[in-house]
Amino acid sequence: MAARFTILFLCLTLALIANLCLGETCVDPITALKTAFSGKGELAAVLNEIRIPRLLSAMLTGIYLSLSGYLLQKLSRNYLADPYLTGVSSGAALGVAAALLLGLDLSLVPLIAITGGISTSTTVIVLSRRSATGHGGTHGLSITRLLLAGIALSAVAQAAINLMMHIFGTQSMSQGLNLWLMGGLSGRTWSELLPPLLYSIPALAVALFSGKQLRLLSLGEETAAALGLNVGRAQLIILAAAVMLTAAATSIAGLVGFVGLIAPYLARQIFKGSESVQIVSVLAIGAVLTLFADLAARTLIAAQELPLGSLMAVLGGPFFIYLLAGIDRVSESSEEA
Amino acid sequence: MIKLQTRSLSLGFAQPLFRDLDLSLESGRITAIMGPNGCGKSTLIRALARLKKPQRGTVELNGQDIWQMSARDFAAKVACVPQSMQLPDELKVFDLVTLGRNPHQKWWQSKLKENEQAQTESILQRLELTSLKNKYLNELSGGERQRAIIAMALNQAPSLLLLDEPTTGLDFHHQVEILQHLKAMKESCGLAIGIVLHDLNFAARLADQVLLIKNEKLLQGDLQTVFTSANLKEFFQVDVASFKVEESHIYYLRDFI
Repeated sequence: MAARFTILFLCLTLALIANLCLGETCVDPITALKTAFSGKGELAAVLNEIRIPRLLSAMLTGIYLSLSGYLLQKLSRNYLADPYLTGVSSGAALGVAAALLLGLDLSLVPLIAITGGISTSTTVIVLSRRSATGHGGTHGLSITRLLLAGIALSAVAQAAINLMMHIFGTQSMSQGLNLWLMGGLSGRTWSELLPPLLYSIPALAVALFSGKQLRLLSLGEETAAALGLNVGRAQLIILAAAVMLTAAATSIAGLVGFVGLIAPYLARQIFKGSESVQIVSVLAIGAVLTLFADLAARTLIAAQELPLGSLMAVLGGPFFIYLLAGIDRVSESSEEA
Repeated sequence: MIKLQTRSLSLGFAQPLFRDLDLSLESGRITAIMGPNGCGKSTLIRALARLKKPQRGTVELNGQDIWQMSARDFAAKVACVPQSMQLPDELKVFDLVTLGRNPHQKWWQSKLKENEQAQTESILQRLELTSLKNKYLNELSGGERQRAIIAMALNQAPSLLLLDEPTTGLDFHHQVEILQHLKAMKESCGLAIGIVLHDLNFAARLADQVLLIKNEKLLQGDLQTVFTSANLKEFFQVDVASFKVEESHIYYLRDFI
């Protein structure tokens, strides 16, 4: 276990160094660090104002999305659950689209993304609440309803974005919004990082301290209730944390999918252990994935930037199909048995 | 002392399974709940375990409506072993059994205190699980998993234990072990037990009172009153007779092959 964690953190260090040093101007790591700390010259400006905010944005996006995916998968007991399935990402995107089309101040975008995400997820939560017979004395959440409501609201939010762009958007606005919807970290600044970072602190605290509650819920709602867990409340708190993490990630990077699917899967395969171990490995893997994906997005084609969201979708789509095929194989073999 | 009492309890789904049940589970007494499949035994256990709200009537723990209590306070006094339970593959036996301590812990407490560690080890030993404690649950046989679930419930240190067919899937040795252990806990700690059983002879050796359920019909009382040939024929549609060996009745099928 220790050896695996060492390799994981070496990968993280390597990803951070690569993101700092590689790009149109390549520098060696020692020069990069010295120049960044000195703060003098054009290279220092590139590093301090472009690359470091961008690598921190990539790292936070990866951490937020992977942790959100992990929480949603644990809650739904479905390894295919992804932040998109709860409608949070699309809700955040709808908020941002409205803000951009109304010409609101760009510094308000993260806040509006979070508001949009929370609005959609609140609707999803209300639609998912079980009536009358919730476990543990409270109204619990129906996970099936949660996923179905998330899919339905995502479709509605996407359609609303398209309609708004069609009716109100100028060509340049639509292009800008389209770029944002494809996901990317180009031009992220320090000031854009602060609001999502602040909003994510309570959500991160919930994620890091909810190991026992997640373990109880993994036994099923009824057993968790019989062991004294207030199931409805625990589900709501953990879900709210997952929503805030996704909204924060969406406000930083736009729509980036599949990190929340791949990172928890890899963590489960590589690091068996307690929920605390899994949570640490999930967020480290999420950060490494997004850092390398963003590096590829800005360096694969010279003088041109690929959209991070699309790149992740190209990687994540086949991975999702692979997982789906695996589930089919498992169910077939159990039927044969 | 603990007393879990139902008052005019009616349970069911679209159609009621039974109505107006007045049942009392008390310290130092074992109540066997019996009846044919689908009669409502598991639903009753769920209602007693605060997992299903009654259609009518109340369930009270020491005079307090259980739905007025918090899940944690209730679970600190009453534990339940369900008929079936999903067990995540990534959990080890020890991890599962330690979850039984949850009602007695703060929400942020994830490590066992010294006395909790000792109690957990002692329960693992009593249920012959010590050698399996570091195994993942998907590496266990059905019977071993069942014992691990019972160990988790016992680790709640309950005053009242509800069990829904706990011996299903166990080999004969472990069936006897579990039931003997329950009886010993009743006698030594005054544990109140409500247990769903299908085996008449196990029920006869274990229970102080019996509740029979069938098609909304309820019959409860001590063994002598309930386990008559006529009642057993009516509730189970089999011809059962008994003979006495050392103060215990042995039940057998009169017309079996």
